[in-house]
Amino acid sequence: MTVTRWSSSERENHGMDLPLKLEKGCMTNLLWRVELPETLDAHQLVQSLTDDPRFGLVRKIRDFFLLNEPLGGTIALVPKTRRVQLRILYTTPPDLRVQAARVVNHELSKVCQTLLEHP
Amino acid sequence: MASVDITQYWGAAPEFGFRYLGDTPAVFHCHHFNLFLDQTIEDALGAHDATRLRMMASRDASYQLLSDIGNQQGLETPEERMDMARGLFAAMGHGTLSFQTSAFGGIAQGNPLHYGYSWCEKYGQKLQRMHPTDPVAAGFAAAATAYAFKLPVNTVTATETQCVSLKSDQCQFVISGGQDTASSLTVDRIDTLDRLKPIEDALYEDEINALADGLREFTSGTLNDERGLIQGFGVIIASHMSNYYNRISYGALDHINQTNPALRPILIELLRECGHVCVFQTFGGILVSPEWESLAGPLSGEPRDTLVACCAIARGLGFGQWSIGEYVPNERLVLRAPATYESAYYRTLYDPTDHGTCFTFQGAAQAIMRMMYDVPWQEKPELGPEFYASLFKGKIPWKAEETRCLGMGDDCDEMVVVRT
Repeated sequence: MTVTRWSSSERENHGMDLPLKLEKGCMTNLLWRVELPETLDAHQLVQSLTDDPRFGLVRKIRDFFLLNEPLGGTIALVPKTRRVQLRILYTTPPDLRVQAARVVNHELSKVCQTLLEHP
Repeated sequence: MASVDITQYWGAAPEFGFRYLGDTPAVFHCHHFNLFLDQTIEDALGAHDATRLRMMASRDASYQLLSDIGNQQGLETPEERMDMARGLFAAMGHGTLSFQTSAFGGIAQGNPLHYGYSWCEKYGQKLQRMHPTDPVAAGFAAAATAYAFKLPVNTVTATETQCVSLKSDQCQFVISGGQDTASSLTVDRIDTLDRLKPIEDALYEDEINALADGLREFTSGTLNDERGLIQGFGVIIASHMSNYYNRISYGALDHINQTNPALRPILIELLRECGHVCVFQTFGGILVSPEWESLAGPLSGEPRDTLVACCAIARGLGFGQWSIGEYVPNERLVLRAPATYESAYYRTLYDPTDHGTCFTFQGAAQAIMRMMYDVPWQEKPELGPEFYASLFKGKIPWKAEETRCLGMGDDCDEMVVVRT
């Protein structure tokens, strides 16, 4: 499932959102893959998210970073491979998880957009 | 609730692939394995006997753990002992327990709990459950009460009276006095390491050890969230006392041997299938996770790389020093270990037998070959029930035989896997 289609009004607000794709996992709609823009420095993204009060660093182990996201879940990030995984909070009701992923992706995309505009 | 810094309690015997909380053997498993194993025990014994066995196994294993950790810290008062127990339960990823107890018993509540939450997540939309899901938490609650108030552990019991899997808002346990046979069906660090000899001349050891070290690093820190669960590697994982797993597995076999020996082969087959579930879900979940990608890079899909990874994962999770004795691509695999968490338990508490006793290892070895050759890793496969069924519910083109086992009096565990 690729969740990148918005209505025309949504597109006004969310047109800059990064491609978001459901990661095939064993738990319903909790894991999502985000594709970063090619020109975005993934290490800079980690630093921006760490400094952003809506996110913040949970854990760093070697080259793996786990960050908070605004809805209570986490974002896993591996800069050297540019892997970004949204981990929607597991207590999110199943029928709200897709929307939650969109919201988190939107917030993440705003950070990325700022970085691209002001490297 | 004061949080527990579990990092200070994690120990390991890396040369033998074992891990400990204090001196208590501990392993990591994911919710799929935990639910499948508990369901296996329930199917074998019936809900009543299975619940009792699981509660007692958890109680006795937890009491050993709590005593171990608490005595290291010099905890004396009921308040500080109970606080430690709550914190440790959460730090291990089992969830949140609150207590209103005294030396005469009381009530505990749990929400969320690893087993209850996981059951609802996996089956809640599809199945109706008839019995509570959390004998592990019940046993832990009983153990915590016994430890806090310095009661003999076999005089405290706990019964789950409400469960989220039965549509309650939370899980609730009644803790009361009881009297059952005092059992010390647990092993400790010394028991597990007794007389072990490292495996020599194994293949790809440097590579496996490096990955195992990395995985231990990933799983040694504070992993739980404020609810006491651990969402990692794409699954819900928990560190668990291997005494619990062994007690319920071998205890169920003992029960079947006495009450209905004709069912023994079926139970053994189900215990082997637990190994399939473990490799498919736990190992598979780790392999496709960002954590593993940061350690090993993107998956190559090469069978040899998958084999190396699986051995590293087994060591990192505390299953034992799974080593590659022989590997003939597409034909034959020989895995050896000085001991597994299964055989280290069995040989300590049981007389030698004439058959292998590492049922999870048996199933896992078979599953590893299946995963090496029949999973398109580079396509990022969905590790869901349909794919699992396609790999493991029909005829499996690999056969695994435990040719040596500590439980048989041998000096190592050995699994030979060949094409059928």
